[in-house]
Amino acid sequence: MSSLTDLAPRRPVRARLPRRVLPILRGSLSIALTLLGLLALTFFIGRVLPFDPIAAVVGEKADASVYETVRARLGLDQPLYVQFGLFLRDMLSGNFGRAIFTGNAVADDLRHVIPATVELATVAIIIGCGFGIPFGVAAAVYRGRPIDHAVRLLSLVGHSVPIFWLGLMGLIIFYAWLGWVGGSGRVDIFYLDAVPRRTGMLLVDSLLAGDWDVFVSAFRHIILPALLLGYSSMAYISRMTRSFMLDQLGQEYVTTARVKGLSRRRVVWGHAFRNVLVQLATIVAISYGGLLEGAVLTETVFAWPGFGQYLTTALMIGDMNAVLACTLIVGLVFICLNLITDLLYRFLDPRTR
Amino acid sequence: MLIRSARAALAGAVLFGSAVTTGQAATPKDVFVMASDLTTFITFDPAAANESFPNELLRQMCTPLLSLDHQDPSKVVAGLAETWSSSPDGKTWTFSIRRGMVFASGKPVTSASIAWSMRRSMKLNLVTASLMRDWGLNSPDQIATPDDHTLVLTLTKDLAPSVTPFAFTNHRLGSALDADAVMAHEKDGDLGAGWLNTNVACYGPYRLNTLRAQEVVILEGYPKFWSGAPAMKRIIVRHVPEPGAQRLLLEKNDIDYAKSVEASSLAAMVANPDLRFQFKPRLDSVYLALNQKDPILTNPKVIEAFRYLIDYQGLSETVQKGRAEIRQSFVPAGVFGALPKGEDPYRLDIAKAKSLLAEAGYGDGFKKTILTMTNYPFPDLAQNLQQNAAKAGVTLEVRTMATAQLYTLMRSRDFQMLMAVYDYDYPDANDMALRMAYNPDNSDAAKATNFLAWRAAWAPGAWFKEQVETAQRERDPAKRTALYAELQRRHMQESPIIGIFQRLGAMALHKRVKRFDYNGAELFYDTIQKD
Repeated sequence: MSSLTDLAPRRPVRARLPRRVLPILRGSLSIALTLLGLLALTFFIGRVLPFDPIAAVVGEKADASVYETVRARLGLDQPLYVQFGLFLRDMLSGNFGRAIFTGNAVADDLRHVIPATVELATVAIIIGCGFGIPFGVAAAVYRGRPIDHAVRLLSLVGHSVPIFWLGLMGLIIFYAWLGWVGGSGRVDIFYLDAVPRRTGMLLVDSLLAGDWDVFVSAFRHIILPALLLGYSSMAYISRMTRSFMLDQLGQEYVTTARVKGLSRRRVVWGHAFRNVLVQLATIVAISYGGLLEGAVLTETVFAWPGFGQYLTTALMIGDMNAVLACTLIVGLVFICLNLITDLLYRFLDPRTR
Repeated sequence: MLIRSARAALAGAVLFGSAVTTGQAATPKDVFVMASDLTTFITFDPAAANESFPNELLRQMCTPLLSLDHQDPSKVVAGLAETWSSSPDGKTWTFSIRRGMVFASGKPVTSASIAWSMRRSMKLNLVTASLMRDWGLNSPDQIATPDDHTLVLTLTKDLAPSVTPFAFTNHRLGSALDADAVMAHEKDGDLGAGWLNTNVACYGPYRLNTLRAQEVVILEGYPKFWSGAPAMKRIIVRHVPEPGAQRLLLEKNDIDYAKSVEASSLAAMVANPDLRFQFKPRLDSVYLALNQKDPILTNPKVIEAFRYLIDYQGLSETVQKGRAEIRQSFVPAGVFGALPKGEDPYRLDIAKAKSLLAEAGYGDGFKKTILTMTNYPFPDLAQNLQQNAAKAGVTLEVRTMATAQLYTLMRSRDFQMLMAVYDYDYPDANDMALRMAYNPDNSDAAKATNFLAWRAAWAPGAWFKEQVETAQRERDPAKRTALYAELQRRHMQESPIIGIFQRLGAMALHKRVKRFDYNGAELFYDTIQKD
């Protein structure tokens, strides 16, 4: 016996899905396709480049038979599409394979290098925003005055001086001469593994463990590279803030606010600055994303065991498991930052709600 | 390129800031701290290890059957084996294995442990298997263990009995793995190879405590080692890729030893009274190879012209000052069979090179590409040659690349000219002669990639083949020396592999390090002493 509901005309499946689910599905599919495209492109470019992981494994002394053994062992004797397919299959089961140049599972390596980079990038972006935004606002408000020139000069230096040079000068002055900061690495060598690893970020882990000595040592080591990276971000953020603010300060609503007799502080921070927040969020997200990709030269000068060095080394020997996993991570970082920025837009700009 | 400029700037900046204050807290007395580049760490498996620094560390953890003397690399001394002897034909070698040795697991180290390790390497057919084949160790049947303390190896190659012991000084070839520990971690029939990438199960004065590529390696003294625990209870290697940063740490008293020293910093560092330096000639040859598949580069006059286009003297006094000595013959100084120092017949002579090129019919010059590595001093050496060649009308394009990429092109003989260095395996002229003057089969199909002559597509001919094979069999040392002298002199005239330098190993130590044995071929951590 059929019920009344059975007699009712069926709504199409599409209509049956809640209105909010469809865009999410569509979004997820587009993200998945973007990532797949990114991986395929990286894989095929990586295989076309003249980097030979077998040469790195066997060195120059092995004979041809050893070379062939390693080729087969690494699966490089398979056609390219099979190699890519195998990688995708492993990746979907949460296994990125083994990195040739470290001998470890790629996932284990990433668990070490990602927190190191996230920690450095986060401190750096805090420094970059903490100085860059006020400097940019001040430069816009005092346009053409000495403070504007000073900020311009500061940003120009931040943009143009090579970071490795600044890094080494910083090490010579603040580590070797003054002894204010720690030298290379993330922590004093005798504090290695002194606190249990929870997040992999030493500042956080040492605080969680309540170990003040390790925290101080980690802070002394991170401050110089973070200041340098932060300085470079600050240069970009302050220039962009200045330009956004100038746009706003020339608008009629600002003039109106001034005519109404509002204090300069209120006009600048309460009206103009609030309107550049959306654009600024994008700039900060781009800067943070760039920092999360890892800064190879800074990591090299400061012997910081981060993502940038890891990815670069993997690329140099054509270690595709590591390269693809890193590409995926970078892709995901940018997608996440985009999503966060979108959410921030809604929060910051009432028109988008 | 960026990294290179970074390095140059770094070196300059360190020079500028060399007046570094010292007097910080020193490292503990029984801990040795060093800084090195730990960027790549492919494997600790004795069957597969091929990288220079991981191998140096592995040597401290895997004692070989025999050892090179700590000071004089031409002397072979006891290792896992206390005594050794050979049959009259020099093919069967009997080793008497030291008693009382135990692995960390408590299991005894016996001849069976060594035999198992060797058979495992053969089965895996990785780099060590290739080394074994070079010595005529091809099959597991050639390894016998009549009892727990006797190991008998039968080699197929007929070599002078003074040469063969060097085979067993290689820790990859003749060390002892704890079979149970390795096989407990076997996965998919890999004989524990995956596990041994990042673990060590050998018998030696040190054990692996921590390995984190791009961060730190810590070795721990093994108290049950036959001669007792080494004086340094811990060896800590910090990952510091930049030589400039390594120097700062050393001068600041935060480390005892900086692994990489830049030539531009050397003079200032040597002048620092807080540092101590050890220099030793290395077992290597810096060479220029001309590919004999190239019709122009096969012309003997062209080959000779290139010998006159290298500024041996000028480079040794500038770019290579204190870091290398001129060596045009292929056997490095200090090694059995080496020519006397100073027997380097060629000098930079552009006029002579020009006339040779004209005689060869290339008076108007030609254009070639020269490949080299990105690391010091190769780009400088290649650019110097480029400038000299330009004066003789030859246009050289210099291409620098990562070492692994260069190996790939060498293997496929896909280059015109190439400047690189070859690190020899053992201090006897036989190794050098085989690499530089011997080519078993010059065909592409032979893929004899471990012979430099094959890589340069050079077929040295019957005389060279006969001379190399006779010299490696010759029992009389005086006759052997004469054979190698003749071989090297002719090689210097005919070969398209042109010897340029022998490098000097420079060790930068803090002055509190009183002893760190280095014989030019190997470093020994177990005898390190410091205040």
